[in-house]
Amino acid sequence: MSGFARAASNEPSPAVVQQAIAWMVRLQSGNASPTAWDECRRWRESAPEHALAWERLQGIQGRFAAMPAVPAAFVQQTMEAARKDMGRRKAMGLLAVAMGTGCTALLLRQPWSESALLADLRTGVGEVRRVELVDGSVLQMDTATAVDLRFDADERRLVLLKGRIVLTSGADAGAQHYRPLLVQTKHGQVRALGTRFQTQLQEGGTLVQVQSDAVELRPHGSSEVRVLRQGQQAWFDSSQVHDLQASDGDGDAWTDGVLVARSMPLSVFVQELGRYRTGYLACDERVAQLRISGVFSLKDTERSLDLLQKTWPIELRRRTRYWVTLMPRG
Amino acid sequence: MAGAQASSSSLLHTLYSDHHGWLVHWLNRRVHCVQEASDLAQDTFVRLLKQCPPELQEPRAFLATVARSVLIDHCRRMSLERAYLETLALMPEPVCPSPEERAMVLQALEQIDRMLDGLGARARSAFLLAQLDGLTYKEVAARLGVSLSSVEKYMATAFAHCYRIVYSDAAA
Repeated sequence: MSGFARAASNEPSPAVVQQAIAWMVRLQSGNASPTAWDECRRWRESAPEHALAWERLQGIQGRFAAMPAVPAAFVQQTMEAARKDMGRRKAMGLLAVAMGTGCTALLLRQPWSESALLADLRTGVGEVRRVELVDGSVLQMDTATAVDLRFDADERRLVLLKGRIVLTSGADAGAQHYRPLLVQTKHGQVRALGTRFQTQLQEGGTLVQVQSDAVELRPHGSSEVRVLRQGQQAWFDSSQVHDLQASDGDGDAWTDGVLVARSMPLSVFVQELGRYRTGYLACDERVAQLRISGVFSLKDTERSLDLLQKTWPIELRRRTRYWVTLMPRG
Repeated sequence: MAGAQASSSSLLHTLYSDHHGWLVHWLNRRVHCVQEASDLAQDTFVRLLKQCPPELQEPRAFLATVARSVLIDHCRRMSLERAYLETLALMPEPVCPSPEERAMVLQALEQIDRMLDGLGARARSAFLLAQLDGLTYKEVAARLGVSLSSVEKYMATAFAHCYRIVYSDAAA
C-alpha cells in the first residue's frame, strides 16, 4: 500500500532493529550487568539509525504506558472474545464478502480477460508491492501483475490473472476451521502446504517455484496431482506438469527489488529487466549471448543499464527514452 | 512538492465527485444499511486523505480495495466493542465505567489489537503482562510457567512484531 513512500536515509535496517530489540530485552530481563547500560548507550550513539530504532521501541512501550489502566488478563479475555465474534461474522458471510468476492468483478468480467482491469489488486509496470492479507498471508506482487482475492468460509483462493507473485502463507488465526490456501491460474491450481512459493503466469503455462515447505499442483484438465518440495520448480499447462531443474534460489530476488544474474545471457537479462520498464528494450544479436553476472536494481532500471554499460563491452543506443537497444561497443 | 500535493488533492476531489455514489452503493450491498454505508464511505475517503497515491489507473478497483480494509476494521471494532461489553458483564464484581472511560478503554483495546494482531498467543500474553501489568520478566516467567529465556524470546518476538506493524510503512 505504501510502496510509494520513500524511506528516510537513516531508516534503520531490519538488522539494526533486531539489535535494538536485543538490547532492549537484555536490559529489561534483569540479567544485564551494570556495564550493559553504558554499552547500550554507546551503541545508540554510534549511529543515527541505532538511535532512531531505539527511540521507536521506546515509543511502542510508551503507547502501552499511556493507555488507561486495564489489566492484561482483561485485555486478553476481550481479545479472545472478539476473535470468536469475528469468526461468527466470517461464518455469516459478512467478512467473506468484505474480503473480496467482489460481485462486480464476477458479473462484469470474463475471469481470464487479459486486461484484468477490475482485479482486486494490481501493480503497474515497474511497481513491486507487498500486501498483507486478512488471514496473515503475505502477497508480494511483481511488475504488471493482477490478482483477485476470493476468500470465504471454506477457502482462501487467489486468482492470478497476470504476472508473478510470491505468497507466504499465514496462520489464518481468525478462522474457525482450516481453510486451504490456493493460487489459481487459467492452467490449474496450486495449493500451499504451509509455505512460501512463487507463481508466474506465462504464455501457455504457469511456472511454480517453492521457496519453503511444499505445494501441490493440479492442472485443470487432468487428474494429475504433483507435490513440489522446497527448491523444486515445475511448469504446467492445463493438461500436464513438466518438471524443471531445481531453481538457483534467486527467482524471488525481485521481492527485494533486485535482479540477480549468474552467467545470464544478455538476451534473457534484457527480457527480465524490460518487464519493469515502459517501452522497448532489446539487444543486438551480436551481444545476445554475452554472459552477465551481478545484482541489478529493478526500481531504477536506468541505473542498471548504466551499470551494464560500464562493466560490459556494450553501449546503449537510445532512439527515444522509451526505445533502447544494447549494441556491441565500438 | 507543492505541485504533487495539489495534484493529489485534486485527484481526491475527482475521486469523490465521480465515485462517491458508486462507493456508497458498493458498501451498501455488503452492510445492507445505507446510513452505515455512507459512514464507511466517509471513512474510506478520510483514509485516502492520509495516503493517496500519486496517480490512479483504476479508481474503482482502488477505492474498493481501500473500502474493504475500512470494512474489515469496522467489523473488527464492532467485535471488540461487543467483546468488551461481554467481558465487563462477566467481571466478578459489577463494574460500570462511564461512557468516557468506555470510549478510552475501547480505543486502547483497538490499538492493542491492531499492534498484536497475528502475534502468537504465548508472546502476546508475555508482552501484555510486562507492558500493562508492569511485571518483570522473572514474574512473567513464573506466571506463564516458562523459563526466563523463553520470556526473553517472546518479548523480542513481540517487539519485532509491533515494530513491523507500526513502522512497516516507513520501512517499506
